[in-house]
Amino acid sequence: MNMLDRDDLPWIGELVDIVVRAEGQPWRVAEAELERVAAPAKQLSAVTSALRKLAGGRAAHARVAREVRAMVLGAPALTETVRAARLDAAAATLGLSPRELEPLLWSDLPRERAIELADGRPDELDIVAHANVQLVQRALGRAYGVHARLWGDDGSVLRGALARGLIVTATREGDHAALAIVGPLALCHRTGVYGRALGQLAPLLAGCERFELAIDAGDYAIAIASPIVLPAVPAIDRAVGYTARKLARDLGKLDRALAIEVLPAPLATSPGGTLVCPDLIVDGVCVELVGFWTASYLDTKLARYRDANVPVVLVVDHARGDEPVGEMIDAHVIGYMRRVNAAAVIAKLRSRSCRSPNA
Amino acid sequence: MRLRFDRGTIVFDRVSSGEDPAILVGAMRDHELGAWRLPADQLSGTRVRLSAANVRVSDEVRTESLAGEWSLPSLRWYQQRAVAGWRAAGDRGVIALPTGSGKTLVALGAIAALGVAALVVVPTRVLLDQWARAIAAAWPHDVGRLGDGDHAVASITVATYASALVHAPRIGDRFGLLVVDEAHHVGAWCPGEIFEMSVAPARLGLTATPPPPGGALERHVGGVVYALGVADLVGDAPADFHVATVSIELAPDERAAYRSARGTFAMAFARFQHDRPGASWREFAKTAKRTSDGRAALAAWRASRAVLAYPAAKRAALRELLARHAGERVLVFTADNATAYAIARELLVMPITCDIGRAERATMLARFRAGDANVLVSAQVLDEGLDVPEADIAIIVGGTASVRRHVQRIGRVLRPRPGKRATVYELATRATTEAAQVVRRRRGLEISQEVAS
Repeated sequence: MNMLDRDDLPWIGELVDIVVRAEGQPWRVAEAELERVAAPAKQLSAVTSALRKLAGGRAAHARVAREVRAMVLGAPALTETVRAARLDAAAATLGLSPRELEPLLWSDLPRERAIELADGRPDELDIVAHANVQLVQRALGRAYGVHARLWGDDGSVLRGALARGLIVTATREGDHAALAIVGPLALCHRTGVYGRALGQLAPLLAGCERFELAIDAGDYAIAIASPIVLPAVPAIDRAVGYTARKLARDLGKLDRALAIEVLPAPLATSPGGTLVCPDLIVDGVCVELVGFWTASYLDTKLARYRDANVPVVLVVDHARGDEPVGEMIDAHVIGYMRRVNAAAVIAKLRSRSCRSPNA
Repeated sequence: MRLRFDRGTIVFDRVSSGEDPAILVGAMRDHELGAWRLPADQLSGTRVRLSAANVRVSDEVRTESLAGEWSLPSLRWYQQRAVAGWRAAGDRGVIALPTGSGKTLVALGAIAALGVAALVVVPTRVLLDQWARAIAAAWPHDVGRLGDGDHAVASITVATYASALVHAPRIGDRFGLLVVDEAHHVGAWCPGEIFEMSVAPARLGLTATPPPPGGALERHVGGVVYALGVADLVGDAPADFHVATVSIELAPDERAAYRSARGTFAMAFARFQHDRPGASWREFAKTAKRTSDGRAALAAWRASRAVLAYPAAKRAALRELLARHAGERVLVFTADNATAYAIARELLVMPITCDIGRAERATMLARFRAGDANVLVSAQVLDEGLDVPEADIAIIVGGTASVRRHVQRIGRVLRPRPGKRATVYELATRATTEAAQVVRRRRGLEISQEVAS
């Protein structure tokens, strides 16, 4: 797949020039010109979209635009006199001139609002980075699933996939992690829902030193590999680890002496073995929150932690489970309903049996 | 064997050694979970197969039932027959009734009759609001809303197509009945995944313009189980109406621009059709984007449409018609949002588009109903389903050749009101593609009325 790089900067610069020239005019004016630039269609569309994203500006005007519309729009103004009178009256109420007022009417609408470049000319390389994310997302959006090989990943791709309801099989292979990712329904056929979820992983790839994606799109395959210009990983991927962060906060409040590491890197169970993905490490004990589960699924998980020779507590959701957790409870499993009881987790962490991986 | 719902699928585990997973036709192995998965909509069929094979099943999929206490107005004769026909067809299928005949009430009747939790999926945020209000008026419990900033799920929930898709993996096991409004969109605007990820065995489609049999709608919802046309309901539901075509003449400079743009496009398109006979418009657009000539042809096609969208004579005709119907409620339909905004800018009337938020839209619709803002302009949002019996006049400034879309647009002014006679004006530019579109739409409209009758 053709990703954008420095070689594309000349034609992207052409696009930026069009937008800069159209500053102050509605976006639709610039868009009509942007469509005529000679460039591959997918790349052109991604760059146009990235340009709009970087130029931004809608939210700041939304409230005032709504207020102005409420004052000005109504029965049709069929003559210029009626029209001017209505604009004058509204402008006077707001302490503006009619010339200032009229652009405000549409200042929150994506194609009607005027182009504003508050931060000056957008940087072409920034545009390349954001457009590349879109290109990867579009490729992933058409996929059944993806095989990813990641070097220097901190686990955010794996964790991001799990948080988005995707099924992930992760293993350590030599110097990299290998992830096979697929949506539950996508096991049967390609789906838009899980295609979108796969697409949401694209920005997280920037956190890897190196990556290779083999995208299975059914009747064809797409290969994407670094180096690719991508924007920095979002500081907080809010979809990831909310419950874990909350549990970490609750544990910290109950006992300030606890050493809590939130969202640590995945651990290999053995050289070349399956990866486990704890959400927290608390005083040396891994804590993993488990969503949908079966008894055999928990058994497999516990076996993997044993294999890695690290102590673990699995915090499992009663509502999404196999059977009453009471029957499942052992040294390494604790159940919860709606909200994780941090005190119970601490009690479990302090039990001697929990600290023995092979208990 | 045990079965449960998870993220849009049915998970089968605890398959004992004597049980053959082959009975789960089409199931895929989830190696990570150590279980089998099937799309959620396969639940009913699989239950039947498992039962026939005497497989012991721990079935943990439970949809909710509804509390009673409905306060529904009494259904008209055809609404009662529609619900009865749907129930007789095994609580599946499509009810096709003309616009303005009260399809929402039919759906409420079906939900009440079935007594199970229901998810209603609708195309637009305007309709989300309209449905939620209609349900709340007849059912004394909280109505769930998914879309337009809401994320509340209740025993009866209304969702836009887009939000239903996003939430389907999470809520697919809650509802026993799926109702799809403007059901002709199933398989396109309304993705089939919404239905695949739902365990609901009962499905009801509502439309005024059912698509031909054999498509996605039939697969996910069922065939047409009850249909009536406008002629069947004379005196019962839709308002009387007549359609007038206003012939539009382009100004010389507009005519020249149109001919030049159309000529550039037509040449490229003819070449493409010669090389690839039978290829679709989509294929043409895809191919054209790859070359500079192709891009020029597409740009010329857009330019020719821009000329027709709102030339000077349409401006004049629109003003004249609005003056003639001053004080009456008028819906103006355009070919695209840009024209809707151009009209809004010129005449200071309210545009209702996908860009306008919920609160503002609700305020404007209320002002329209009250007569304070008596003209609304829209490209698509008002095309379908919106219930504004106060609207008497529709002015179609621009559109497509789609008969279905045309029927839906006309339907906006057919909502019944005592003594109402609706008028639909079509502005058609002479000697352009638009004139041909009007003829095709008219012909299609006559055919659809004949078929309906």
